[in-house]
Amino acid sequence: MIINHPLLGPRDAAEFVHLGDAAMIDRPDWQAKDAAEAFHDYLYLRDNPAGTYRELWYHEQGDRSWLVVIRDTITHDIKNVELARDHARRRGRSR
Amino acid sequence: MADIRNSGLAARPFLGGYTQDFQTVRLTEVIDFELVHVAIAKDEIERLTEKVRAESGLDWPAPGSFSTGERDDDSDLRIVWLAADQGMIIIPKSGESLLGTGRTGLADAIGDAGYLTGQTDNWVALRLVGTGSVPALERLCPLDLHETAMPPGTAARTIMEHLAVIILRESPEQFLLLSPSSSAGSFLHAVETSILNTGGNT
Repeated sequence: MIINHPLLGPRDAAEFVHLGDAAMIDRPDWQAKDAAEAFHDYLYLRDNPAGTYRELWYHEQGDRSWLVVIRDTITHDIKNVELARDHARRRGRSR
Repeated sequence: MADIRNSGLAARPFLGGYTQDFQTVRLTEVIDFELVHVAIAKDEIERLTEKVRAESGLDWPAPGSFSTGERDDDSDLRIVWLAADQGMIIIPKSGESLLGTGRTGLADAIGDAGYLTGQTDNWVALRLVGTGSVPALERLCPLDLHETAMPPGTAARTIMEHLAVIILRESPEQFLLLSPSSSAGSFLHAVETSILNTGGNT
């Protein structure tokens, strides 16, 4: 599997570490009334789709960037790769 | 307390100033340089680029590359891209520390546009020169070392025998490798072994 790094170009998947669901980026508001329940879901519940999945990958043997990779879990076809920072900023985070 | 400045103690290179000629490669420990790590302050990349260019004449490197002077000899100043907001400056040793009042004055020039950390004693450097350098290195790291994928001027961080390495391609058959000094001996052994395995007898 080749991951097309947004800054460094195509790199072998062996250079990366796979973390899992990119929903980890959307941390719940700890001051919300339902924070306990929201954190339970955030920590323990994951989708396990047969198909398109949004995942976090870490370029450990490279520039140590976090990436959001959209991958098809059936075919391993990678549809999109972007820096997790850009992804998070688009979702309203400051950094 | 004893004054260690006049004690006669002198720092030794991590590999004792190693140099060895193999059939197709010369492998040398590079000892005459200083290293400074730069973390760019938030949203200050443009200001930092201007300051570095004004002081050194070098551009801040594009991702996956390093910038160096026009002379491009072994002892040139190099700025290496490490990550989106990070770089490493390799400075030919002048006897003065760059972090104080250095010869190039880069530290003063960068000011609050970046955060600097002295790294000189944390890295060991090896230089490979010769036709055997690519065959030896391509067995050690997963990078594509073909010149079309990795032209001179390319810098990358990678792994060689589980050890983290920053690799700079200085010319088609010349590479500079930086690896943590705490594992300098193992790193040298890995590179030597690969050279011997790829036909580089002494």
